[in-house]
Amino acid sequence: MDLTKAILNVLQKLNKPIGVDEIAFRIRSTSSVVKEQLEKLSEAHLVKRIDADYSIDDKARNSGLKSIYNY
Amino acid sequence: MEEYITSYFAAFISACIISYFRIYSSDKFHNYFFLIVVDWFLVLNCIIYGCISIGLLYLLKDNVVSIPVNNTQLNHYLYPIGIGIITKGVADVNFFNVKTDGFSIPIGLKTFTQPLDKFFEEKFDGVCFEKSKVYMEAYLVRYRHELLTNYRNDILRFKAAIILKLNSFHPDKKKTGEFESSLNFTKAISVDETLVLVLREFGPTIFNSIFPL
Repeated sequence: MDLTKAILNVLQKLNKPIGVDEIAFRIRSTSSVVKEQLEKLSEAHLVKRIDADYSIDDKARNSGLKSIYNY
Repeated sequence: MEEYITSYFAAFISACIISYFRIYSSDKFHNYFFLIVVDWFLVLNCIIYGCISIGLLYLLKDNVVSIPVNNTQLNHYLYPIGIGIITKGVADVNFFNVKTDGFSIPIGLKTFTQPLDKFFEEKFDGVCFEKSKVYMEAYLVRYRHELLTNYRNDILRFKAAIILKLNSFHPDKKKTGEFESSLNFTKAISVDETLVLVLREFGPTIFNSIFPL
């Protein structure tokens, strides 16, 4: 599972906004690597930022995520 | 009656022990196990697999698998202990997968145990994360300060010093080499990330040797 899928998987499973450190911990990566990826996902409107936390973008949850999880 | 109770108890205990050691030896939680060693979710996980072994023993009570009997006390318990040991394996029986909406759903007993395992994995991760933050606090304060004073805020020098220490404390040079060239370590830009990585990859014993308080 690549980094993008792992991040989205964690955010969707927990279904609440969580911080970069916790995402990094849960996917056994590092905060800087995860932060870089989250910024890309945020630009692609797949995740949204709420203060210091991130969660799945509501529109992405309803539409595009299924194709990303094709594994 | 007493014979049945001791048999079920033997199956329960052996399934609990196997479940406990399965999590202890898992790649994901081995180095964090000291944080969840007495956690209620771990106890609950063991109890659930213990109960599954009782159900399995009940279904297989007519000795579907036969063990040559010498009528010794040990042989009396071998069958339920064996059932307890194989419980996790039986619970993971997966005949085939059905793909729907991009998700792969196992069909078999794993249909029920996979969500259970994922639930506990998520809970263990949550507990480990919270407890590791508390555990690391004192180390982070000390080594952030050390980075500023001894390494002039040069994270590359700090990381190089860690690799030197790892080479002297860890017996497996191959693992140290892989750690040094890993994406996570090469991209780590802070003391926090570096310390978290060392604890995750090498466990608390090596961590304490490299980062004494």
